[in-house]
Parts: sequence; structure tokens; C-alpha cells
Amino acid sequence: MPRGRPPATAQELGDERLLIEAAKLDPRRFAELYENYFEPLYAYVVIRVHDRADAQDIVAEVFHDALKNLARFEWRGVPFSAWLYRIAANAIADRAKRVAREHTVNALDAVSTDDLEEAEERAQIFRLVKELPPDQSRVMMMRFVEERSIREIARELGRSEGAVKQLQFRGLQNLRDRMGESDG
Amino acid sequence: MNPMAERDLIQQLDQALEAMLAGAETPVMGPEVAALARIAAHIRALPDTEFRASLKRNLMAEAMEERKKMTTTVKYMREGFRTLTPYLHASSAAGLIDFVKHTFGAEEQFRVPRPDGTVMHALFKIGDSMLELAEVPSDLVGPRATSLCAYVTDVDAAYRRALESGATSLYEPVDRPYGDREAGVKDPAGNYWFIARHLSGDYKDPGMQDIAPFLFPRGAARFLDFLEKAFGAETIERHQDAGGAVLHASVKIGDSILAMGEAHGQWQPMPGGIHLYLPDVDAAYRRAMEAGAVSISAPANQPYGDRYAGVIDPQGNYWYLASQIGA
Repeated sequence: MPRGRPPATAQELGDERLLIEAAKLDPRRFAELYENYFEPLYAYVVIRVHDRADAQDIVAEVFHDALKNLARFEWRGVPFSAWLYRIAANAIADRAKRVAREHTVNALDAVSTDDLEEAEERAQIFRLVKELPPDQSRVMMMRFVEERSIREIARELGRSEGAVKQLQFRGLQNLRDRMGESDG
Repeated sequence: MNPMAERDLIQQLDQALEAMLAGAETPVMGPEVAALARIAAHIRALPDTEFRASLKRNLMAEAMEERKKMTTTVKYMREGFRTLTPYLHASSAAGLIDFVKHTFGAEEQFRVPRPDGTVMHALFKIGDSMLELAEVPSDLVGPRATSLCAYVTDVDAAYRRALESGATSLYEPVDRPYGDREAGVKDPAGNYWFIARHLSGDYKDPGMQDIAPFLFPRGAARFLDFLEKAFGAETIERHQDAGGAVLHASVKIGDSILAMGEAHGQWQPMPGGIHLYLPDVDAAYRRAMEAGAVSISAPANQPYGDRYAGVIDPQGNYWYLASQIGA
């Protein structure tokens, strides 16, 4: 039984289908697909490719490919995300083959369920970080994405180091609680 | 949780996170700290906000380009049409219609009769091309019988069917040194058809349409110049003799090819009608007039949903310039 995000409902799939049809007629509507799928796709890629710069290259490649080939995407009840993961898996495999032919670890071009589950969990965290109270969200970004020290953050925010540590704690706690809520 | 215990937890968490961020060995943690550190590890993989925004900007720029292409290169042409469509004129259409149906398997798309029953406009699909025709009284000034080429898979069979349907032979099927098998017939309305296929490989070049005008201009070099200036034609093939006369040339206009050879001997100018779909009728009309065309009709929107203009080129061909606007 797959864990993580529940399967898309018929309503969600219907909306997705309409959105794809709209984007085929007017490519500017691709923006909405991008907004919906950036986080899960990025999360998936970054699990497979541990380097941030490589992950960014691949994510960019996948979205450019998807936009270019959208007309060829045929609706057969398979979610659009599955198509994106597939393009990403191929791009990752190609890159791995190019970079080091002898290393085949993690270069399988299949989309594994474990990776997808972890990606879903991560994508959920990405979304939830943005929904945190602004000071907590800011600390999460500065501390874990920009990898800045407590002292630097304290100076920039004009808070004490103790206060920043507390925001760090509250932010993570909040995320854990919210994840529990959306899982339930 | 009492404040002391919480302060302790905050401190333990910070030590664990420091170690994680420094890539050092993480200290022993309680389950709560471990769960929070795991979430922090996920956050480290968060996408860069600037990357997310700049990728979106790039994609949107690309989408705008795509959209521009969609609106300028697809929709101005009617469904099934190519840039160039030969438009035949005959004083009597019946024999001509039988001829194109029987010889080339032309499928009639529609026919608009006049009150007296004559054909005002009829449209046929032949392979990947369209062919249009109209009946015009023989005493009316206008385009007359013209010359065309038709690429088919079996020249001999098409030649035989042409003769069965009332055409006369110009020359029997023959292998040409330039690698084509071809035959020539004159249809019941007097149009010349060069029926051809490549001797090897595919029956025609990629990019070549099944039915195309094949003209015999007098002064082909000047005519090529006109086509380039008026319609942006791009010369793709040009063979000249020592004196500079163009023996054979072909140009690409939009998605179609127009071929020609300098008028000589039996092959004299047979100016006809050509329907040309392009994105900007007004600009093409203006350029054609500047290049020496004569106006038949200035650009205007038509009730059937096209913007249309007509010009006669210096060789006497009638060009019907059109852009679909109603879609």
C-alpha cells in the first residue's frame, strides 16, 4: 500500500486535464502547471541527484521539455506528474551515463515508488515551509537553505541568538505538527 | 512542557543541527530532536527561491514565443491548406473535375454553384495538397489554362488514367537524367500537367507538395526576383545556362514549393491562378505592388472569414492572397 500523498481524486484529475488542454491551446497557461508541479518534481530530482546545481539543471530541462512537448501529452488517465517524473528519470539516467559510465548507482531510469513517496513527503514540507508564520519561515530558509549560522541570522533579524534558536525549534515543531495533520 | 525542559530541548536540537550542517557526526538525540532534525534535513533540499522564479520567467518567455508561433504560422491558413494552392479556371469544369478525380483520386471537399448551375468555386484534396477551380466564361479577361506538376507514386498508371479521362498526351512516361520518371498531359480544360516521381527513394523530395504550380515565365530571373520581394520566396534550386538564362528553378514560399523553367519552344507562359495563404495580407500586397504587380483588389475582410487581396504578377499570374481571420 503506497504511503505519502493520497491518490488524486477524480475531481483533481479532471481539473488537471482541463488545465493541460488549456495549456495546449495557450502555452502561457503552462505557468499553472509549473506552480502545481515544481515542488514535487524538484523534490524527486533532488533525491536522485544530490548536487543542487545538477538538480536545478535537470529540473529546468524537464520543464523545458514538458513545455515543448505538451502537445504530444495524451490524456490516458495517468497524472501529468507521472509524465514529468518519467522525463526526469530519463534525464537523470542520461546525465549519469554521460558523467560516469562506470557508476550506475542510482542511474536506473525507472521511477521507483520509494523515491516518489519520499519526494511527496519532501514536496509537502516545501509547501508547508511557505505557510509558516513569516519569521519562522524566514529562519528555516536562512538556516537550512542558505546555511547561515545562528549568529548571522540573529544579527540580520535584529534578534537575540536565543530567540533565533527558539524560532528554529518552533518552525520545525510546527512543520512536524502540520505534516501529521495533512497525513491524517 | 516546562520552560527549563524546553530550553534544554532547543539547545539539544541546535547542537544536532549544527553538527548536521557542518557535516559532522550527529550527537545522540532523543526521538523528538531526531524527528525535527529529519525535517530540517529535508528543508536543506529546498529549491532556491531565485532559481524557481528565474526558471518560471524563462519558461514563460518560451511560452510567449510558442504562442506567437501558433497564432502566426498555424491559424492564418485554413485547415488542410498549404501556403500555395493552384487555382484553375476553365470555361467548362465538368471534364476537368472528372480528370482530377480519375487521374489523381481528387476528393471533392465542396462545390459552390452559381444560380445558372456553373461552378463558382470547388475545392479538392489531392494527397497532401488542395486544388481549387472555378468556371469562368471564355470571353472574360482573367487567368486561363496553366501548368502544374503532380508527384505520384506510379507515373505510368496516372498517365494511363489521365488519357482515359479525356486528357491528351504531351509526352509519354520517360526516365529523365535528373532522376525522375515523368510524363506530360493536357487536361480537358487545357492545363498542362507534369506527372512525376523520383526514380529511386521516396517518390518526391521531403518538403515538396503533391500538387504544385510549374510555371514557364519569360524572364525567369526577373520573376524569381519578384517572388522574393513580394512573397519572401527563398530560392532553393537554380540552374542557369552560360548566358544566365534560368533553365530550372524552384523557390520555397511558406511551406510550399513553386517550380519553373524559362519559357522556350513548346513550353510557353501559361499564367494561371495561385491561392497564397500568408500571415500578413496587407504587407504582402504592398510588397507585391512595389515589386511591380497590378492590383485586382485591395486587402479587405471577406464574409467567409478571410482577409483577402488580389494581384497580377508581371508574368500575368493571378495571386489570391489570403489570411484566415475568422477563426
